[in-house]
Amino acid sequence: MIEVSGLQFQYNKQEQLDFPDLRLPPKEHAIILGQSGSGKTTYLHMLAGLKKPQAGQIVYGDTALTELSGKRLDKFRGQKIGMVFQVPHLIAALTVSENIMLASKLSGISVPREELDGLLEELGLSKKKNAKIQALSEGQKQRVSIARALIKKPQVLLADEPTSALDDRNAENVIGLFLEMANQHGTSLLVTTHDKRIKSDFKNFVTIGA
Amino acid sequence: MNILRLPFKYLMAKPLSTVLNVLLFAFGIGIINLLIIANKQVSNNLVNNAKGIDMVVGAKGSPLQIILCSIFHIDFPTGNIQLYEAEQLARKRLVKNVIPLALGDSYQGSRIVGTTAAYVAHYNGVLDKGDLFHNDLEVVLGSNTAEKLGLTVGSTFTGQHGMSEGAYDHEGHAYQVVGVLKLSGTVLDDLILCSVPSVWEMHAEEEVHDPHEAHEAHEGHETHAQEEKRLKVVSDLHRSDLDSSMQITSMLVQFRSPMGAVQLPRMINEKTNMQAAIPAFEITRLISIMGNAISVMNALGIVLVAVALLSVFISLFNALKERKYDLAILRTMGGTPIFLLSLIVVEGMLLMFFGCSLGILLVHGGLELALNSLDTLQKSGIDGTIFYREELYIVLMALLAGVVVAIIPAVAAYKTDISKILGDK
Repeated sequence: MIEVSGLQFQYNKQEQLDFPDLRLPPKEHAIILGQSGSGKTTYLHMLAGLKKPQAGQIVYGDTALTELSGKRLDKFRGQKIGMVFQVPHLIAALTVSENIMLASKLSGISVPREELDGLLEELGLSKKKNAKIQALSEGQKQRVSIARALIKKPQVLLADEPTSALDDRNAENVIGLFLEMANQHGTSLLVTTHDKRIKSDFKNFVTIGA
Repeated sequence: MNILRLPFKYLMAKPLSTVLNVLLFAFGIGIINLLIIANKQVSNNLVNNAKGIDMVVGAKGSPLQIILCSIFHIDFPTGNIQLYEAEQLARKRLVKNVIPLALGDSYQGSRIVGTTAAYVAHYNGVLDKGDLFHNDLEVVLGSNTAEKLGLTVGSTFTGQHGMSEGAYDHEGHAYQVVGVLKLSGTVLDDLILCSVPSVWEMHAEEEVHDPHEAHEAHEGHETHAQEEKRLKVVSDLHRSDLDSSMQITSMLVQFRSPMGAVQLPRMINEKTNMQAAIPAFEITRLISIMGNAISVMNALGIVLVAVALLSVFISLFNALKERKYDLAILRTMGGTPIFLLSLIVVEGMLLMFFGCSLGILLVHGGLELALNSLDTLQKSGIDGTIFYREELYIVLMALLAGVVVAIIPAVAAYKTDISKILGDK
C-alpha cells in the first residue's frame, strides 16, 4: 500500500504547491495527470525520495519515506522503488546486461543470472544482452530501462512521462508494456503524463494543478 | 558486474582521451623515474668503482679526466708518466699500495688495460674460466667483454691502437685469452686485462717500425727480459731500485694514513711531472656537474606531471558534465553520494596508476633495450632490471595525486542535485 497525504512543496520564493492525496493498494496502478509545469515530476520525485516535501507524508507499507534520510533513504529507494524516465538515460560505457545488473548491485539485491535472462526474454532483448547501448534503437533502450527498474523487484515502478515523445501507436505499446510487466512482476505502477491518450488504460488517476 | 569496474569501464569508453592522459602522465613520471635510477646507479657505480682508491696519479692535465680515464675508463688519458717517477712515489712512507695502469689500445671498443693481478684483486675479481695473465700477450676478459666479443679461453685477437673503433691494428702480435672473469658489477666487467709489459711490447714494436722513432725507441726501450723484470717492479714498486725509463699511463694509489691526502697531492702537483687527482673530490665535482643537468630534467619531468594532472582534472570535470544523467540515475538506483564521489576518485586514481605504471615500465624496458643495443651505455653500469623503493613511493604519490585532482569533480558529483538534473530531462 502506498499512501500519500498533505504533500506540499515550494521552490525558492515561488508559490507553494499543494499535491493531491493518493492511496494505492499493492499491485494496483495509477496515472498522475497534469499540464506541463504543473508539478507532476516534482510529485514523482517526492514519491521517489529525491525531493523532500515541506509538509505531508509518504508511506510505503509500514515505512514512512518522508522520515528517512541519508543512507537509509538511498537504500530504501534502491530496493523498493524502480524509476523509468522519458529518456532512458542508460550508461553508454556498459552493455545491456551490465546496465541492468548494475541496478541490482547498487540496491544490494542479488539476482541470479537466470532471472536476468528471463527478464531479457520477456522484453525481447535476449539477443541484445551483450550489445553496446549505442547499438540499440530508442524502443530497445526504453525496454532496457524498464528491465533495469524491474530487476530488483521493486514495490513500485515510477514512470515519468514515458509516452510524451511517442506517436499514438507507440504510446499505446509502451503503456501496454508497462502494465504487462508491472502485472507480471506484481509491482505497483505510477505513471506521470500530460498525455490524455493513455488515461483510459488506468482505473486510478490523480490530477495535479486542476 | 563488479561495481568497482565501473570507473574502468568509463575510462575504456573514451580510449583516446584515456590513452593521451595516461601517456602524458607516463612521460612525466618516466623522466623523474629515469633520473632516480640514473642518479642512484651512476652515483653508486662511481662510488663503488672508486672505493679503496685514495688518489690517481697521471700525466699533467685535467684531474677529472685522469679519474674518468683511470678509474671509470670512459675518457682518454692525459698522457703518460715516467715509471721511475711512479716508483719514487710508491716508495713514500705515506703510500700503502699502488696499482699501475698502461692504456692505449682497445679491441672492438673494449679497452685493453695493462696492469697487475692487484688490479683484479682490488675489485674482488674472480675467475670464471682459465687463469690470470702471467706472460706477455696473455689477456683476461671481463664478463661483459667476453660475452659481447664472443671470445673465450684460447681465443686470439689483434688489438687496435687507440680507444676508438676503426683504428689500425697491431698486426703481427695477437693477444691470447687465458681467462674470463665472473660478473663483478665493477669496471672489470667491460675491460680486457693484460700485463703492463704486454702493452709496452705492443707499442715498442710499433715504434721500432716507425722509421722516425726507431732510433729513439731502440735507445729508450728495454729488452724483453728487462720488461719482464719491470712487471715485477710494477707489481711491487716498493722493492724496486731499478732505474726506469719506461712509461705507464697512471697509477692508482692507496694511502697508509689520512696524512697522505694532505701531503702527497700537493707534493706531486708541485714537485713532479705528474698530476694527482683525488677520486672523492672529482666524483663530488662530477656529480655536482651532473646535478645541474639532473635539475633541468627533473624540472621538465615535474612540468610534464603537472600538465598531466591538469589534463586529468579537466577530463574528470568534463566527464562529470557529460555524465550528470548517469550520476543521477545511479542515485535513483540506490547509489549513495559517497558512491558517486568514490567513482570519480577511483577514476582519477586509475588514470594515475596506469600512467605511473606505464612510465616506470617504459623506463625500465627502455633502459634494458638501450643497454642491449648501445655499447656506450653498457659501460654506464646502469641496470634496468633493478627496481627501487622510491618507485613504489612514486606509485603511491601518483595515487594520491589522482585523489587530489579528482577531489573537486568528486565533490561536485557528491553534491549533485539529482532531482534537478532528472527534472531537466
